[in-house]
Formats: sequence, C-alpha cells, structure tokens
Amino acid sequence: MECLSGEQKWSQFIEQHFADIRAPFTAGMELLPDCNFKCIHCYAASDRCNTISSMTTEQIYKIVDILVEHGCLELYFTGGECLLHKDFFEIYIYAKKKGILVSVLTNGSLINQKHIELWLEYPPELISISLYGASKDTYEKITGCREGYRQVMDAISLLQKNNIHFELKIIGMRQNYEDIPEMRNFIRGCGQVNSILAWDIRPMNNGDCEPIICRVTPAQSMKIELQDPERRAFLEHLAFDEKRIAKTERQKGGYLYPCAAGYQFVFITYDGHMQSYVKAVDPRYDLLHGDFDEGWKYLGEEYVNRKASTNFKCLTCDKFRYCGQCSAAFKSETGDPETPVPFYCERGELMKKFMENISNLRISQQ
Amino acid sequence: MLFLNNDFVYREIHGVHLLIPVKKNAISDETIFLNETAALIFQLCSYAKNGHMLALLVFEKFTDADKEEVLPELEDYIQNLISEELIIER
Repeated sequence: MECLSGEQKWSQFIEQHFADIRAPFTAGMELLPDCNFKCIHCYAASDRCNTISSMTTEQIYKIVDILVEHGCLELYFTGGECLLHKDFFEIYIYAKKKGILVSVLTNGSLINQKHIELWLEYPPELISISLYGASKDTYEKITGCREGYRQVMDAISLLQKNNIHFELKIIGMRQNYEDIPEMRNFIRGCGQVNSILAWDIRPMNNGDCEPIICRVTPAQSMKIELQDPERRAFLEHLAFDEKRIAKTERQKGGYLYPCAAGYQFVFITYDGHMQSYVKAVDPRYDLLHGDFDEGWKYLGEEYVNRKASTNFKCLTCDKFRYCGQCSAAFKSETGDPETPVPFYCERGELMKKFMENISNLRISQQ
Repeated sequence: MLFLNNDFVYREIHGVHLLIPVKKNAISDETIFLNETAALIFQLCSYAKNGHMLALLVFEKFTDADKEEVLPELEDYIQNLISEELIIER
C-alpha cells in the first residue's frame, strides 16, 4: 500500500491512471446563487436578482451520489458563497463520507470557529479563498462590504492557527491593481508560493458585459507579473521549457475547445445544470429534468468532440500557448467561440515576446 | 467480526483501489493506494470473523498459489492491518 501525498497529487494521479478515460473525476458544484458580497467583477448574475430557484439539499445529495457512481474523486463546492447554504455542514460531511476529496471555494468572510471545528474533524482537500484587496477601502470598492477585509483577515488567522490547508488567490482588476504587490507579499507571508494570480474577468453568465469594465489592460497585467520576483522567476522557468512552443494534440486535432473542457470535469450550477466548464454556460444540460449519462454524452458531443471551422485562428496561432485561450470565454463575450477576445491575443503577444527574449538571452549567453 | 475502520472509505474507480480518509485519524491523512491483494482484503473483511478466516477468503481468490507459503504471509499482513486499526476486530 502506498500513500498519495504532495501538491498536484490528484491531477498527476488521474493523468497516470485514467488519461484515456472520459469520466468526471473532478467536479465543481454551486450550492446556491446567493452571496454576502456583491462583487462588481463577478460573473454570477444570480446574486443580483431575487427570483432564483436553486437545487434542494436532497437534489444536491442525489447529484453527489451520481458523481460518486461515475468515479468522481475531487469535488469543490462554490456559489454564490457556499458557506451561506443553510445545510452546508451536512452537505460537506455527506460528500466526505462518500469518499470524495472535498474543497471549498469561498470569499472567506463567513468562516468561523464552527467551520474550523468541522474542518479539523473532516479535513478538506483545500479551502480556496479569493482575496480582493489589501485594505478596507479596496474591499468596499469591489465587494460592497467594508467589513469584508477584516472578516477575511480574521478567517485567514483562524485557518493558520488551526493548520487547515488553504490557498489565497487573486483576481486582478482595475479596482485592486495598486494593491496587488502588497497582496502578493501577504500571500507569501502566509507561506504560499506561486499563488494564483488571474486576470480573466468575463461577462456575467446571463450575457451582461458589465464586469468587463473592471479588466486591466494586457500591458498592466504583464507589468505586475514581471515586477513580482516569484512570478517572474516562474515565467522565466517556463521560457526554458521547449514544450511551450509545440502545438497541443487538441490544437493539432482541430478542436473547437482545445482545452478539453468536459473530458474529465463537470460543473453543476445552483439550478442543476451540467456544464463542461465553469465558463461554458452555453450549451449546457438540464440535469434536474434529465439523466446524467445523457448529459455527459451531450457535453462530450458539444465540447470534447466538437471540431472548429477552418477559419478558427487559434488553432494555427503562435501565441496559443501564452494567451490562456478559452473558446467558452470567447463565446460569452463575443457570441462566437471562434472569435477571440482581443485581451487574450494582446496578452499572448506580450507573453510570447517576453518568453522569446528570455530564451534568446540564454542562447546568446551560452 | 471484522470491518473497515469507518474513518476511511474504500473505493474502486476504473480498476484503481483506494482507501480515502473521511475524518481526522491517527493512521493516515493521505489517500492510500491499494494493490490487488490489499484491495481484496478490504473488499472481503466484512465477511470474516477474524484474521485467519479473512486470510482464507482472500487465499481462495488465488488459484495457483502455494497455501503453505502464502497463507501465513496473508495472515501476518492482515494482523498488521488489524494492529494498525485500519481493519477493526470486534
């Protein structure tokens, strides 16, 4: 018998044992649409209106059972704010007792001693907290909640004090741009290296493009990343990896979704829809009025096996490995999965230039 | 009676056998990856009254094994699992 441990263990494990099997080994599930924050950049339209119906707890249990039957190993709960769910504790324990590795994606503000006791008894795979700023002012600007900053800092102290596995990640945007170096330092101070710094602000899942105004420019995003010693070292390391310039198999295969969305992941929305990816809101499958196997097959046809037209520029683009290409994000912003969003292309161009410069510099030094 | 420590869940996923910790426990916080023999032990443990009986049940699944050689090894191994409290004897 041998134990699996260390970072990245499950993705490596799944790749090692199940590379050729299409099954939902990992899944995400929105427990509810509601959130105590009202973030200006958030894609979830649901927390801005009050006429939303969401899954019952019994329906959530049933879907957890279905996921287990289909081989799900890792499941994360999200929302809205999943800690707001009236039955969060019961749902969390239910999934744990099924032998699933459970993570919790949260804004962190509601974490209290009861959650700590729960996670000490039933350890989570990961508590993943989105950090929105380095001050009360920034938090208020983004989340509409002035107390949010203090609440999140208190939660982080609690998690640290109790040695509960957590990560802090940053969504960079215009409203917290100036705070990012300080936020990165704070995260490093928490002992976390190479934490997630993402820039992918996208339209709401009802098509409203209001969040896009929060997006920084590609040059701003690169500037921040290259000023951060840890991030810069990571990118320089990538620059020496020769695989970075090779086309991926799915790119070579002419697929519309080169990332293989829906191959080994499924996302369940608060109202019981199956999606191949968080961002892939259209098409999707209504699980509450259908059958998981049928939905899985449908997503396979629509995402995994769907070929692009010959006009799809991303398949031949030399910036593909650098831009964070996402056909689902393109569809939600441009209405067409084959029409790239300029932000991605411009950032890809800047990243490509940086990598090439680093690589050329090394060659000239040799 | 033998049974799997209820701090763990046994799962078989596409031919891979795992013991997944549910609660904080003194044995392992990490998922345990089982080989075929260990998997058989955990699959069959609830059908046995003691370690010897479990070893016999597992041995029956091996068609070409030497009983005198394999059975004592199986019993030792199962006894270790009982000592470590991965399998509970009651």
